[in-house]
Amino acid sequence: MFRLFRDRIHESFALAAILAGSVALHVAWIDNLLISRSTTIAQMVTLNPQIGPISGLYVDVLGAYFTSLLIAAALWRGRDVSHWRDRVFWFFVASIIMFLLMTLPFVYGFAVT
Amino acid sequence: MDSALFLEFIHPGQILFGLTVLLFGSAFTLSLLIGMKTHVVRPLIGVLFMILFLLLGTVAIEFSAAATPSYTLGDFASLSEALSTHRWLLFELPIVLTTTSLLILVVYHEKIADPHARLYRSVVLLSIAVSFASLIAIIFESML
Repeated sequence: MFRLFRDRIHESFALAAILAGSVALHVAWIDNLLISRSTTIAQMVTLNPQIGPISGLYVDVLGAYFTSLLIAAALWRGRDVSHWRDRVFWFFVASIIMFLLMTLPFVYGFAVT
Repeated sequence: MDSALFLEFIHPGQILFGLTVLLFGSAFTLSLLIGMKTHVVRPLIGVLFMILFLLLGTVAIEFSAAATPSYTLGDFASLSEALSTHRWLLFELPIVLTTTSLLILVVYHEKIADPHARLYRSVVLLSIAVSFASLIAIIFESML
């Protein structure tokens, strides 16, 4: 695998990895918000009762990462993706900011009573 | 000191976490140099691989010995419990970002220093810096 990447730069794969990371972070905060708001969803993602819903959350995030990586890598394979660079980069930055903000307990737990 | 007594005070997950923080310190320093010195790329890939294994090991150990309400994401009553859930959310960040930077470095290798790869260098640097910061945040939150 390392030799394959050394002979030629597969930029599409690197860009797919960045997009996958961004999608996974968005999935993480949205999933967490849904879990905190709905007991049905919390029960659905509870894979291990001892650990709680966070077990399903980790599986969801890893699943989202590798699914988006495979889809994006397959779609962009062998193509010139230089025009996607900036858009994917800023999407990545936005996803980090959104994740950091939306996983704060007082933000996702906010409710008007 | 007796090893059994030592393990009563220090949890294996904490040892792995401590090692991860140390390695992230070195990864951050190396990531600052990838644009100038290309021979740091190979050690950086090695360090990131180790970090990823340590992160996954920490998760595996902590979750297999889950005995606290920190993983429940339920109705939390105290600040420490809320922060405990937040810590496990925050812990996802280094796993995702380290995997991303590792894949970029495996694709680019020494060519990461090329002018057209500036954006990818930025992603690697940003990922490592944010992951390192999130681990520091986890340490501070654990003290509360």
